[in-house]
Amino acid sequence: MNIWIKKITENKIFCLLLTLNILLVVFFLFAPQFAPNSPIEIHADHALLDSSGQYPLGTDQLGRCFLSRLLYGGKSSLLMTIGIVVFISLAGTTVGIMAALAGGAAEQIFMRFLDVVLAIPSMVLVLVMVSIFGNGIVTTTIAIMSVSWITYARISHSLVLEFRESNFIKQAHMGGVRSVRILFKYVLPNVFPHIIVVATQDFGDKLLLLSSLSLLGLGAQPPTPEWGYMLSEGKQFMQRAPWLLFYPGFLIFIHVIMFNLLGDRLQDILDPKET
Amino acid sequence: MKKLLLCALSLLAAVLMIAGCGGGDKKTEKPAPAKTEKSAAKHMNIALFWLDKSLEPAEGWNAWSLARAGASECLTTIDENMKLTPVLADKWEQVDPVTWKIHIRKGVKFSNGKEMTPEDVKKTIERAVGKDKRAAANANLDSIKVDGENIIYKTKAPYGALMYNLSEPLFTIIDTSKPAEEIAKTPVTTAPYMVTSFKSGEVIELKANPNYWGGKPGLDSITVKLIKDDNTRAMALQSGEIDIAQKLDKAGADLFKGKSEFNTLEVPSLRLEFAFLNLKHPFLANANVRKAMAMAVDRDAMAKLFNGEPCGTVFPKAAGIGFDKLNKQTFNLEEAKKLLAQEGFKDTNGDGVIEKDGKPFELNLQIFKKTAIPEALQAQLAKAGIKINIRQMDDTQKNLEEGKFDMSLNSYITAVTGDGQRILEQNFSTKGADNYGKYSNPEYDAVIVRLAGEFDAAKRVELETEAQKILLQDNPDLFLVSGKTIIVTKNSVKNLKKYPLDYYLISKDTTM
Repeated sequence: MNIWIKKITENKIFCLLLTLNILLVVFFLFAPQFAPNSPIEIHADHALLDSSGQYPLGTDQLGRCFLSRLLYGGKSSLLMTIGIVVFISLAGTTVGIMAALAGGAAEQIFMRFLDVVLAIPSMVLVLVMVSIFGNGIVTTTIAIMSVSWITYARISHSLVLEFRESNFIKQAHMGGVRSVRILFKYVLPNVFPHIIVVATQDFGDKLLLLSSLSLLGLGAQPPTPEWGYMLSEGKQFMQRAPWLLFYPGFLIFIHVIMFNLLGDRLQDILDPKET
Repeated sequence: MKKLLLCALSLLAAVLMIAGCGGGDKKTEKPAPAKTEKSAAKHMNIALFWLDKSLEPAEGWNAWSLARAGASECLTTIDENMKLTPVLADKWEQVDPVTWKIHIRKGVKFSNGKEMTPEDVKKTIERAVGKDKRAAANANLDSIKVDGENIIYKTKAPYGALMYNLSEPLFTIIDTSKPAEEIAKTPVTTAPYMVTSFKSGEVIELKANPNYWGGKPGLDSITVKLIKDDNTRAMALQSGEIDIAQKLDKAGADLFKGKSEFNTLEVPSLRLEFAFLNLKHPFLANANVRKAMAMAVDRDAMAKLFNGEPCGTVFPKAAGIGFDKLNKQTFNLEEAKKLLAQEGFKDTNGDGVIEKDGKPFELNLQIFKKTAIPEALQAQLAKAGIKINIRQMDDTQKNLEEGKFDMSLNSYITAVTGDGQRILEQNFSTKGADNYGKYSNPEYDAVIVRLAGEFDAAKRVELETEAQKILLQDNPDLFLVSGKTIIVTKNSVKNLKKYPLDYYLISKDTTM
């Protein structure tokens, strides 16, 4: 652990990226505080206005302050993404480790089943689930969660398999250490760094997936502002009011890029081949 | 990882591209076919917002596409001033309350050169009635007999709306001797333009009818294509791909404002935007609750967002059916709140949604097209403490028919043939085919019976006004706003008439 902390603090670019990412997320989590107007209040006389003192980024087709909607939308987009990534990484890892430790026929059957599910593109699965259970922010989030944890289960499972056969685990077993202790003391610390890397890189992916679903009208429902949904609302006005597409698109882009860069750096640092 | 980065980059590129589109004149690679042919022959390209898979006039709304393309003629038509005008029937008289003697115009030929006879009229109407529910309701047909140059039309009951209803393009007079597959692709009519080919759901090619009885049509040929998306339709016009874009939204129309190459026609539409209320819902069964909801809607604000006119009753102002004499649904939020409180609704848990008997006042609103209205309605009703969940569906009709809805936002041409009986009867009378909300009031039904038996135009309007009065007391629907039909054309297009009924567009005189 200490080696990693040292490596992290030595990597300036990583520190910079990490700071920027944290700032970005923290800013949007508290952004509603800075919103100049209500994000859902409709003003019939102010539809599709250019930016002005009252509306710094103009208004949308219903005369709602676009900046306020972006700020509120950021909070819902990011909170949902964070929730999804945290849940699927924890749940997936737990299931993967348990499957690996259980061993035997049960493990084989379970993992082959996961392979089958993985073979179907997750977007398609989510679309099917949403169309069965109805659209909305909650069902979409659950649908994404229920198909995305599998990746983590696969990764953690194969990592544990590697350790299971390694000498230090065998020695611990021979030394009479209890399984639970082996799990927490030896297995988890070796699995988690990998999972963190994957989760960081996955953040952008899930943000995009969530936004795409909202863009299709399956995610966030009106009047809740959400970046993907704002894109879908704005596309009708792309010539008349291009800002309706530009700002939410740009924000999604920035977040995806930042988290991917961070994940890349993290991978470089934690890559065991270099230690 | 790389893939993701690429993904994100392409997203940015797409956003920048889209942003770059703003304002500039777009050029597409495909040259407009019009330009090459223009000098030799007058060819017009039109984009419609809707076109179905078939051109069978007697099914669904296919004939509306024919009418828009100038390829439909009925016995009568409704002109740009909403007046009933003779076309293939040149005069008619009423023999008794259920019998009409309609004289069929002489010397009219189908586009294939065959003479159009009273026999063709009889066959066309009988065929339509047999094929389509809406046609059957509009025709109210008991029997038709050919009597020399006339047809003797008997209705099942006294039916004052008949001659208006026969103007509905469903009753486009066609050469019925053709096989059904041919009628569905290239129906033969007497209209100024004839269909030469049809690519299902995409393009109709038309050419001037050489045998047209009303003189030479203004154009040689027309291409009608479907461009569903408002924005794409506007871009097609900017690029020169089309000459006429029917029904642009306000944001689309704004792009052409002040540009001399284009003309914008704005016609008050006869389409009413309204919400069906399901009276089977325990809260909505209460007339006072419905009244409060009707008062919670600010139609002026909604009309501004929708680029329309506030309406508040069944028939928009342009229909001229009692609009100015009625005490319409109007905005009064304080009264609405008071009325709801009086009915026992109260927000006890402070979440902004009122409850009664522990049940929150929460309704699903089904919509099939995203406009400014659903969200405006949602925001306005929220102020009265009513929570609306917007549910966009591909098929709202099925839910309506099965009664599986709380509220349903729809857009109907209410005075569809220039007369109000059809909508008043089908949507609100107890046995009406389209009475999805299950509204029932014997007093109202009695007025409709009287209306059906009334043949004097002025008295019909009076009765239709009376019927609306009852509806405005009971508020079975939320009557919202009426829109504007915006048509943008290149300025080379001439003589395009401003029809309030949006199923008319190209006429004989339209030229370029």
